[in-house]
Amino acid sequence: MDMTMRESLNSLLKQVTGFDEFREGQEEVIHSVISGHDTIAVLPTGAGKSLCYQLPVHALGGTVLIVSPLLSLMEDQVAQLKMKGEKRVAALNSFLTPKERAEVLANLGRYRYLFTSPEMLVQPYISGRIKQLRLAYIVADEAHCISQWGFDFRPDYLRMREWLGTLEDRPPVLALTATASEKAIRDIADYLLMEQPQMFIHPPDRPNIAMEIVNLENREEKTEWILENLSRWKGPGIIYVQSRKRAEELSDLLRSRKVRTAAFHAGMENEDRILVQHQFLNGELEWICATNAFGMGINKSDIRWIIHDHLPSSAAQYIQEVGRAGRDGGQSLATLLYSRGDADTAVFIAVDDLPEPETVRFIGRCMAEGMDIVEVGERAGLSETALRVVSYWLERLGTEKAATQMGWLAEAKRKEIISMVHFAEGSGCIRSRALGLFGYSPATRPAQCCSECGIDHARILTGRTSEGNTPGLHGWRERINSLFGV
Amino acid sequence: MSFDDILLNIISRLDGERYKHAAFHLMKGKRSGQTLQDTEYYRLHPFFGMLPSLHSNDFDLAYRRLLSSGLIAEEEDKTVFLTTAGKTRAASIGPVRLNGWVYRGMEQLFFARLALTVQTVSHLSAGDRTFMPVTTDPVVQREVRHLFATILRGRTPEDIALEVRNGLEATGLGDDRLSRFVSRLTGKGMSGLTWRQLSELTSMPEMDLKVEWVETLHIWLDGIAERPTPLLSALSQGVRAESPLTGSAKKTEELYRAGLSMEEISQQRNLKMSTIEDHFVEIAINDQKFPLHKFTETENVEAVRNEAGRLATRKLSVLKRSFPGLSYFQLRLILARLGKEDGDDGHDNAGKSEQPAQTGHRI
Ligand SMILES: [Zn+2]
Repeated sequence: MDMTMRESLNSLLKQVTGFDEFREGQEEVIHSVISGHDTIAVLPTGAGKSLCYQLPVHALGGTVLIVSPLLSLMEDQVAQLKMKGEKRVAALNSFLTPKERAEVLANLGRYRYLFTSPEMLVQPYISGRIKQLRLAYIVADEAHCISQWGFDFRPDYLRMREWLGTLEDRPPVLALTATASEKAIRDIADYLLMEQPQMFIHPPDRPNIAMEIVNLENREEKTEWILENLSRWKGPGIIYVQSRKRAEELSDLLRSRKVRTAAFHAGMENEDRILVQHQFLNGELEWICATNAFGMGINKSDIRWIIHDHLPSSAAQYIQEVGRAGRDGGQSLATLLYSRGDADTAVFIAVDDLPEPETVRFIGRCMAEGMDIVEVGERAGLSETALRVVSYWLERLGTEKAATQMGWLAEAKRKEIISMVHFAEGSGCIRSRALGLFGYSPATRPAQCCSECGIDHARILTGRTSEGNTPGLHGWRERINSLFGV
Repeated sequence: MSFDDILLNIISRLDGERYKHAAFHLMKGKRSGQTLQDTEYYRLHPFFGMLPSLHSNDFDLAYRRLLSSGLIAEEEDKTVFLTTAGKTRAASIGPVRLNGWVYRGMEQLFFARLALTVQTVSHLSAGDRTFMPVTTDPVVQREVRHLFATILRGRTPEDIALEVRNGLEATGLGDDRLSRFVSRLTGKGMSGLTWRQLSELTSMPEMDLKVEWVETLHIWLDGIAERPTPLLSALSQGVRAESPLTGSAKKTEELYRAGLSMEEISQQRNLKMSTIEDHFVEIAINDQKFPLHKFTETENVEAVRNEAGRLATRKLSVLKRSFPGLSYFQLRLILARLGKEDGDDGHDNAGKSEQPAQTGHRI
């Protein structure tokens, strides 16, 4: 990048955001997009991903189309842009009333940022209208969701490929994600029909997060370890667990030791889950015991400690969950509690959700007989996600190839877990081992690196002092007054 | 009232004629013919749809508690009935103030709007424009945004707090109960409590808390409908099930469905009995499931039908002469239903209307 380019990017940054400097990794991505290249950017969580798609349009003019597979994340981003004073932003999704949708469509050309979902994109009318826009570039957000190898695979996202294929003069595509394996990166380039994409892949290394693996015999020892250590050191933190039952069990035990803890899992009412998130953000709760349902879209920067009570089913998932610590740059800790039996459980759970080739053939036959897809899924005992995956491949590949595909997928998942087992059972620097899962090695060795290199908990965590009393219920009039700030 | 007491109350009304599933579907508000008929026939309107997301586990636990404590028992064919102990217990339970038939789970929409409004005012008055909304439903978010652009424009937090406080005050509910109710609300720096947390804090079971919360909402919403205030009526927009009845008859109908007798309605509404009777006739006309059998014997209905057909008349004075044992009110109710049936079934009607012409007994 030459000096004039650098200077003009810097003045653009200053003009749009008021910031003087880019964060690491942002400038190259923005430059690549402005230069018209297809671009894949893998930036660790907290690196300022959104600026990468928000800034180039100010230099290029026109409209950015941001395709996002998660509706809640989309709403979040729209809200954040609006909060920054951006008026030319809209989301075209299934939440709109017919009237609002008509209004967005009528003003389509005026928006600088247009968010949409893959499902919307393939509706002929909407697709036609979007094609008439002067699109500066197209963004695939959370692009790892497009890869069937990823733990977050969203089959709907593959529809974006179909849509891109229908564009005659395709603008550059920017794929953004926080974590993606080599395989997933190949998928992203392939599925988004990218032409010699520029890749900016930043190792998911977070030097401010010390890493630790603790070997224990069984679940009871893990419970003991957690109770003992959480009585000694303070959070805030998240304990990732395998099951709802475990989440409830641990949070009950911790509460009985006066550690302010709540469980978080998909079995809870939506309202209660939101309340738990609020309490955690507010500091009213110190610990969350969560299944992996927790974390997406939560923006708490001072999480000090992530504990894994079980073996995550992939490196990408593990790193993403660990990455929720220390977003504020402060010293943090990631602890993996490992016992030898964990591998079997992890394999069982990961593969359990995938249909066997035999099941795929069964579903293929039922669908050929014209049975309702939902009914077929119930008969085969598949989860909703698994059913979506299967029906997508059945539609495109036919029964036999789809069955083979499922076989590969199960095999790939097993391999991912085996590599996690190697990671957990290996020797030498844990940070090197973790980065090795993605094909990197650490650039530097921080003072508090990992339990193999030697860490000092007292320099990472804060000791627990006496715990304040849990407040009782307020009088209702007083509570209303304080809620309204009067 | 505890969840178990609610269940006992329902089973007592089911009168030994139904299985436990009838109570479960009723509480979930299942829109099936059977459940709707049961609701009508056994007068279960207060409980209809009171807990739309009720989990079968929670229901089964309560059912088994009632069984094992000997308050209910099952026949060989699994129909459930109240034991003597159950009857004693049921008689000691206070009045139910649920109004499920009217709200059918929509009270939760009211609460979602209220919660987001409270949270928004709370953050705005602290000068904080960015916060994570307590409800993720984009429709509710839009509605609340609209409120801030319209009826809430220019109103101070003090003013809004006063409206909410007065509204709750007007429910006449106890302070402890209202404290539990508002503990679910979230604001700047103070989050609402989950059911689990509230349960640990109050030593009340979660299900009892949920039932109490729904009933509080029903009582509050009933109050808002009667004495509307600007914000609260905006928040309760569209949460009541639509009814073809006029305002006053609608109110009578709601009280009747809530289990009040005609005399009680007349007293509570301070209206003459004749007015209440007019309301009931209107209800009977509009409601094809109107429980006519509760007001007169089925044989009477048949007899009046035949006589009205024979005489080809609907004149009360004439029919009263044929049925001196029936009151005018009973006759009007029967005729209201007959009128409906005539309209529903043209053929039958045409055949009947020819009869009197042949016999020549016209009056
Ligand atoms: Zn190390």
